[in-house]
Amino acid sequence: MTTTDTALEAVDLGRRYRRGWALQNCSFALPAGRIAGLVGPNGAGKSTLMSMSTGLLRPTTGTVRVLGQESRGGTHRRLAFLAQDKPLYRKFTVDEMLRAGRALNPSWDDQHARRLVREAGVQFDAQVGTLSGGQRTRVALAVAFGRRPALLMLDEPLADLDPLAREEVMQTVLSEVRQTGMTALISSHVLADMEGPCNYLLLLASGRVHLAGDVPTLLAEHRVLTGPRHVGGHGVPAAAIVESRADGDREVLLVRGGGGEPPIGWHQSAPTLEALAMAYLRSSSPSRVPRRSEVAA
Amino acid sequence: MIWVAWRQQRTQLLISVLLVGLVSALLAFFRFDALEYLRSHGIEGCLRIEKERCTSSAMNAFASEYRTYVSVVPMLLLCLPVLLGMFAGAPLFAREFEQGTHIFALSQGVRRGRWWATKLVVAGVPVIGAVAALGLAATWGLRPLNFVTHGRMMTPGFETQGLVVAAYAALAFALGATVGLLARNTVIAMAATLALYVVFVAGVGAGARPMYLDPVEKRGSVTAGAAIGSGRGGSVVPDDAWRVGDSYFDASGVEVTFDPSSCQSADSNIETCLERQGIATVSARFHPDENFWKFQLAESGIVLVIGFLLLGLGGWGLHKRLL
Repeated sequence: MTTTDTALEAVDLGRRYRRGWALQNCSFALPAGRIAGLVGPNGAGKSTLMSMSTGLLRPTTGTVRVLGQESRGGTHRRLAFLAQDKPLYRKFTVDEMLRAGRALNPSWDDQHARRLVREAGVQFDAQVGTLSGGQRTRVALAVAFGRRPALLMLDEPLADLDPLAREEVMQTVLSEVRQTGMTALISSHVLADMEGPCNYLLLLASGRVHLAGDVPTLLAEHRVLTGPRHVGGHGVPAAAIVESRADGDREVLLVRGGGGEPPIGWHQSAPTLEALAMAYLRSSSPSRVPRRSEVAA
Repeated sequence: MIWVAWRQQRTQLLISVLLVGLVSALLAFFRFDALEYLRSHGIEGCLRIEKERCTSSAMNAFASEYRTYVSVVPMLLLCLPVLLGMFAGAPLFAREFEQGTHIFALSQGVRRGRWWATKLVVAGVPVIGAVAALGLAATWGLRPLNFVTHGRMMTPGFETQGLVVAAYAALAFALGATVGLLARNTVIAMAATLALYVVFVAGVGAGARPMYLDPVEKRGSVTAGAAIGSGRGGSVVPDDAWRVGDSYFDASGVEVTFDPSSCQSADSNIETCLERQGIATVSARFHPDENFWKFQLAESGIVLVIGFLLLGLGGWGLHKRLL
């Protein structure tokens, strides 16, 4: 795979703060054209990874390459990043915000940005600070898409939105991504948001990459085994077991690799993306078992 | 980037210019008012008590007429520059960090050095320029009131006139911008700006200002009215000079000490007290009003260098750490 086929590549990337490592030994290569879900609980290192990709945060170890270029001091011209709280100048009108986008970017597609604002039904003379969360996100996206990016990074874009706005925002993003063929990396601690649109999964927990790859491949590589609950009954090597947990009087295993016939008395099935991710998240954190509602709701 | 920075600072800049305009208008009004008073009382052009025309009684009457104005205006001129500098500087970066908008600006196509410099220039230059105009307006507006203000060499006359007014505003601006950039909190930046500002300005005033030039030394005999505070009008130190030291000599020219606290109420004036202590000659060292602009240049230079060093510290901090 050549570098132009890789939208975002991290090699041994790490960042240490005073309180410890936020991200460590992070290596992956996101192929161009994917819609990638960056999934993990709060504090997993998702924002740290994105900040380093924009060049605004210096890595402690390793490198990160955006569209084949290492980010140093500034953001790659074809990368658009929308931070978690969707920072915009509150005192500006929407029109002035677009003008700021034009002033701050050497290549700027004003017509495109304006069309997105019109589609969102936001008034151009409205002050940014008075917009609802959904409108504000749509304006922030219009500014991001005005850059005509090849790689889009959204940090928790849906976190503060109501269900209707979530759907609208996600549709806006996906239609733009599909029309332009850009690569998207969208972080969320809510798995359900990611399951439908994403065809690539990057799973972070406690500052480490636990899973990275194309969704169909990941699903094909894993299977769920359900059987009676007694030790050693399944005969699966311990190294292949991602997670083992009790469900009533039955035992549920997520197993990597293998295939073929299930052990006698065991039922075998393909995992859903959510089940797969949940199993990795739970196994990554023995001290803290995330509740289903917390991670997957 | 210039447009973005201007749009962010627009309201504040207009308010700053408006305030400076109002105070300048006040200064102009009282300049013409004082000139009119001097003219109508026959003491036109008198800057201090002098023999013949600028009599002490006429000048003291003039002083009591304008005392209220002259006691209020220096407060205004001391506070306004530091406040304008602080309000322009402290939120400049701190508010961006608080609201996360620095991430927006810096993830667009603008490099951090340019973002930093553009914001500093757009926010700082107009405010400091306006305050410079205020300093010159104060010099011009308070000149006829020289006697009432005790001149422009001593505190607060020196700090509220001339070039240092703008230099102090620049210092407050640089302090605010840099602390805001490093602390990333507007309230902390403002508090630290005020505290550090007082330390710097008081430090420069007490530590460096007396040394800009050697003081002038003048001697005179007590009987001729040379003593400071003499009512005879022949004091060795002009009213508007900054006295930094004095010595006393007896009739044979030997230096003696003078104890002002032993002056008695029976002493009708300063001369009888001096003579009772055997003092015949007084000598004083002082910085005369003629050196005003040289002092202003020296102090402005020092303060501006401190300001630029502070800005440099901020730039270095920005280079080291961004998010």
